[in-house]
Amino acid sequence: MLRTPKPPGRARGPAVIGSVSLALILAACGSVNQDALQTGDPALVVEDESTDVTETSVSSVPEASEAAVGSLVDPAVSETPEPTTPTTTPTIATTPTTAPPTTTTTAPTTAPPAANNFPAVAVQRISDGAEVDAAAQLAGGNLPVLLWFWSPF
Amino acid sequence: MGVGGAGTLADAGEFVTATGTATPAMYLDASTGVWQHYNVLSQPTAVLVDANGTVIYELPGLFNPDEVLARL
Repeated sequence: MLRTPKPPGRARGPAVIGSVSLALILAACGSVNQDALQTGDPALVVEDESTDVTETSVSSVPEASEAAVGSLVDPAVSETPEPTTPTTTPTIATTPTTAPPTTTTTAPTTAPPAANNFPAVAVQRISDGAEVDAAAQLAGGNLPVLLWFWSPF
Repeated sequence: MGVGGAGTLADAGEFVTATGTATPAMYLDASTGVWQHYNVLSQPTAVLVDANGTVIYELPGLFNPDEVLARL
């Protein structure tokens, strides 16, 4: 069996493959500070990462600002009058919740006794000489009474 | 009702018999209490009172009975 000599270029095959692998790794990492890669300083690498984050946060600011400005200058919102809702006036209750106490007046069933203005004076009945009370003799009737004052002398 | 204001019961009886005034009922007010109650100062005097004894009309001196009844 004959062995064919390897081409001279292929003797360096593994070194080329290693360079390509390193390049691919670096490409996958994205933003790697080339100075850090060259100098090997990890502080510079961290600074680059923070810068990347800052750029991301800053890039989102204009979007929020545009939204805010858009809301301020939107004529549809600022110039259109809001529909007025009718205001409801509070109603004042005019009827009391509880009825006031009622006072009932009852008519007297019997008339008060009439005043007796006849004099309670003892007098003598001339026909029989009996002593009677003048008021008792005159009161109790329903008709007026005529008093005749006389004297025998 | 006749209310005599002076004298005795005998004097009042004689007056009633002499004048024929047994009607209306005749009484002798010896103390003149009834006279004073109605403020009667002279005789004869007619005083018309209602059923409660309140004065309606007073006519001092001689009076016509028809005139008193017209006041009712």
